[in-house]
Amino acid sequence: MIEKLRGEKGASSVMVVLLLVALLVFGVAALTTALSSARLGQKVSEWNTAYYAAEAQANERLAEIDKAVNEARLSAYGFETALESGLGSLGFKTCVEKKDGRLLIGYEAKSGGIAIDVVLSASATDGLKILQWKERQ
Amino acid sequence: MKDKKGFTLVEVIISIAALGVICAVLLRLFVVAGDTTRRAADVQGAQFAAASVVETLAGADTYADGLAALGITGGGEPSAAFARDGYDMRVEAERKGDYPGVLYRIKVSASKEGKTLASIETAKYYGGQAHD
Repeated sequence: MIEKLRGEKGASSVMVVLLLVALLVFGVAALTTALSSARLGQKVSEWNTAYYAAEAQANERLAEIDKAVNEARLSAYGFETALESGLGSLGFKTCVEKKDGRLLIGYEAKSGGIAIDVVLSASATDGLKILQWKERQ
Repeated sequence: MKDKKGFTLVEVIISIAALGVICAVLLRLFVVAGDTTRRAADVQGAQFAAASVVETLAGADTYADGLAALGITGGGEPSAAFARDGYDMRVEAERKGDYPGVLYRIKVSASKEGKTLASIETAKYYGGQAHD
């Protein structure tokens, strides 16, 4: 038996099999890494699309509110009354609160699991000020 | 001469062919992995290039300033094409609505060899009364 084990017959076959196994392991590892990288790229793409869509919505709403504030400043009915009425006629939900003679306006822009919370401060003298522009997932 | 040790030519040819087929299949794995990695790197690079262009445009005070920051001057044209980080970039912008400031809808796409790898759409409100 020991004589048989000491023989070198079949050594080249063992080497070839080991080489093939090593090739297989490295090949599968390389492919797995490449597929993970492709998945990551896809996720980055989806996240970017969602984030910038939410950002677009937040900016479009900011423009609408800016217009409403501008009109309220010129209104004969008084700034706060005109602004509250103007915000009520917008096509999206806003949260309005009075604080220190200013109106705090909050709204949310949302797309694909990403939301941007915006808080603005509006007054007849200072116009519109962005207090918060915060993204959350 | 009648010693039967060793292999016949046919056996050797068959074993070399079998090994060749197995090696070809295994090496194909590496080729596919390389192609996939290169494609993924291209897509990620294009995404970062497009996002960086969008951020440059959005971070400027006006759209024209944003284009100038990207090295595009003397036009004021809403659309522009240029090269960045090895990608062909295209910026398309459209002015929307009637506001105290200027609202632009912006689309930035990055392509390579005629194939669009990344496309980002957003909007930016320039000017107006709103300030930080």
